[in-house]
Amino acid sequence: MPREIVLGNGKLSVALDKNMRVRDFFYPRVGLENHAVGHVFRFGVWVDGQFSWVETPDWSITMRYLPETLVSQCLARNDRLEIKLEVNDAVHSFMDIYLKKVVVTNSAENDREVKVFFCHDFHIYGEDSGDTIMYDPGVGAVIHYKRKRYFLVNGATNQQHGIHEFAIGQKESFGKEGTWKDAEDGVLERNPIAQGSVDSTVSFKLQMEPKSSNTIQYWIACGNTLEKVKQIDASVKQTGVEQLLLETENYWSAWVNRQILDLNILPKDVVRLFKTSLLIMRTHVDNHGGIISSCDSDVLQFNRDTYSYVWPRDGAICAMAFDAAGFQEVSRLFFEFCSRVITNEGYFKHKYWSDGSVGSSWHPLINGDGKPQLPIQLDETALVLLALWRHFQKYRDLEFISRVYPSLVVKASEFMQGYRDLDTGLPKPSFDIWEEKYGTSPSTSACVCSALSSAAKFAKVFFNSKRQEELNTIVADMKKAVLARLYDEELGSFVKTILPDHSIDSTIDSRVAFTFLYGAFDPKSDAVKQSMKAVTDRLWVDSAVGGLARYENDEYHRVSRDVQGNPWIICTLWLARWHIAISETMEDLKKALDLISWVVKHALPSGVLAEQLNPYDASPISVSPLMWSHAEFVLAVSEYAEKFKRLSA
Amino acid sequence: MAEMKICNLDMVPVGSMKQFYVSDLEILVVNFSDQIYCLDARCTHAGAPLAEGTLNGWVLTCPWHGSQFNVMNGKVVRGPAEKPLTAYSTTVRDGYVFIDV
Repeated sequence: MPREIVLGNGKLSVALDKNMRVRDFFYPRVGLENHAVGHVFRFGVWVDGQFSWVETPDWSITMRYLPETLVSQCLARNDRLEIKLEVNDAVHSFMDIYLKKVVVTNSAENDREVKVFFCHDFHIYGEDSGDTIMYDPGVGAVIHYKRKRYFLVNGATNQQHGIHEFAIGQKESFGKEGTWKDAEDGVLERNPIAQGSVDSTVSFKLQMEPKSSNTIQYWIACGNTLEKVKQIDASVKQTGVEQLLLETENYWSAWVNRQILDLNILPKDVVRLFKTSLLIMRTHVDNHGGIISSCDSDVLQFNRDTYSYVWPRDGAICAMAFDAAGFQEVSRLFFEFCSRVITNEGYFKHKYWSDGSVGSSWHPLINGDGKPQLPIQLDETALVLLALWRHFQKYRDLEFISRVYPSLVVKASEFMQGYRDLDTGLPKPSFDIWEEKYGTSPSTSACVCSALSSAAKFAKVFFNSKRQEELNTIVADMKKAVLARLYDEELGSFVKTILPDHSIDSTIDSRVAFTFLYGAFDPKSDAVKQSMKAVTDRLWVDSAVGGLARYENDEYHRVSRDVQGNPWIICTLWLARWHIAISETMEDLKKALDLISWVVKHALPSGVLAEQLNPYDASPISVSPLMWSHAEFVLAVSEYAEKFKRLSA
Repeated sequence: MAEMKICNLDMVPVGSMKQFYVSDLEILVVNFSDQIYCLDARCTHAGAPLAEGTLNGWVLTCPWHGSQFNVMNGKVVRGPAEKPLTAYSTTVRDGYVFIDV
């Protein structure tokens, strides 16, 4: 199930599903410890002797962000119960608190007692057992804890301080479903403590007049000690959720309005998604620099694993997007992260946890014949280096660059220089950007060309003319080799890959866009033009939804063989970026804006962009949100705005 | 007092509004009944982007907390905002919108 809303402050990150339920709860590192791991934090309403969970079909729900913020604006309406809930959720901009304000409206003509219930299915450290939950009468709160993680749940209404009732009990064992079941009779049992596999439910009671509204303030304070969460709890009680929400709204609105680009020329809905994309991307950046690909833990890509890792490729593309939009301090965090985790040999491993430790991988260290192979994706190393050059080009922060230069430029470029087949001049085989095939592809080779070219430019900055010349020679030879060996005249396109046995995979693949995206080849050159034409002809999805599929016969989450594949947001945006790159008139540029608007149309109402879409109903497939999708959107819009300015000058 | 060009008139069709960044200003241009009005683009209550709000006739509603303003003069129609929006003296000439600042 996609995540409709993601909230965060770089330390605490919380994701809600389409039923307004918390499903992911990362603390204190974004992407590291998920204390919810997709489990459901329900909430429900008891009124007139009836109970209803907000996830049930008699609720109609809309979920958005307050514009320009990381504060939710959700509405849940139940006409049968004559109840409306207006909800704002947020993670405070710098305090580690998840905040929720619920305005409950009694739409009935009579006085009513309404109770609202919140359940907490924490799996602290992502584990199934060993948690304790206790009621603390001193603060009137329910506290979940294990080792160094404490989560304090508290709240108030405008009629009563503190929680009305609570239930604490066991779950997932001995036939016990959890305390949420206790809520369904409208009364909680007030058991004061439980340990093991446990959960909690709290309730708030409102005496409501006809056609009136009342407010519930609710929060979860997060900390490493009991004292810390109690301190935060006291602070919330003193300041109030309303004020903390206002602070958070203003913080993000100020953060997102950089005005680096001329947004005046863009349609309003494009500007809205541009800003929302940057905000959602920020929720996926750990304050120590790791940028995770998605917080959505529902997708189980391989072997019950998620996308909550730092892929240097995805991170580099996010860093380029942050830089393009003026957020150089965020991209710097990422480059510092990369500088810490790059291997001594000068390459990046497949993926990382956000604390810098090496992530899980499915890339073997031997090939099918049992021969050793380096289990890397070479484009990941290349993209970080070229992202760093683009950052420097824009911000000229040489002092910062000099700190990461030895690792991200010198070591990485030396590695890529050495990782070449000297007979062909091409990079040696590695796993491709889709993480599937081991070989030498035009996309990875183009990234390496651009990266080595970036290293040459850095060498000039650092006054190493010999190195600059050496790298430029390698790049020139590599480009010739790419055109000679990886472009197929008969096919009218770059091929997909040369496999280690020298056989050629000629599948049409949208990733040929990398040949021009970062400057390796001229987007107007015959090879690129023909390849992009082949991509458009063969991969545009022939359904009402449209969009560009990834490659021919792609089976990953495939919905139907009757169309070219599932449309991917990133691939469709590469096509937009190509149209931007080749545009010579304002009229030409319209094609790009149409594709950008296609993405706007297929975002979730909150602005979340999925990885792929169902080709028939455009529903999200695989993870949502995917940071790569958001980053490509930001890059496409930035390039569009710049080209518009140039053409209209 | 100086005149400042804000936008092409075509960018704000009748019944719509759009925010423009000009110099250090954020200006909301509203086209109400073919009349152009220019106001501060941020709510005086908590700084919300008013262009993301709703326009119902001459009443502009803030997207964050529901304050309402009269687009013709910036006056508060309903709180929580207490202060009016700055309404700029506006001219339309040769298909462009200008304000006096």
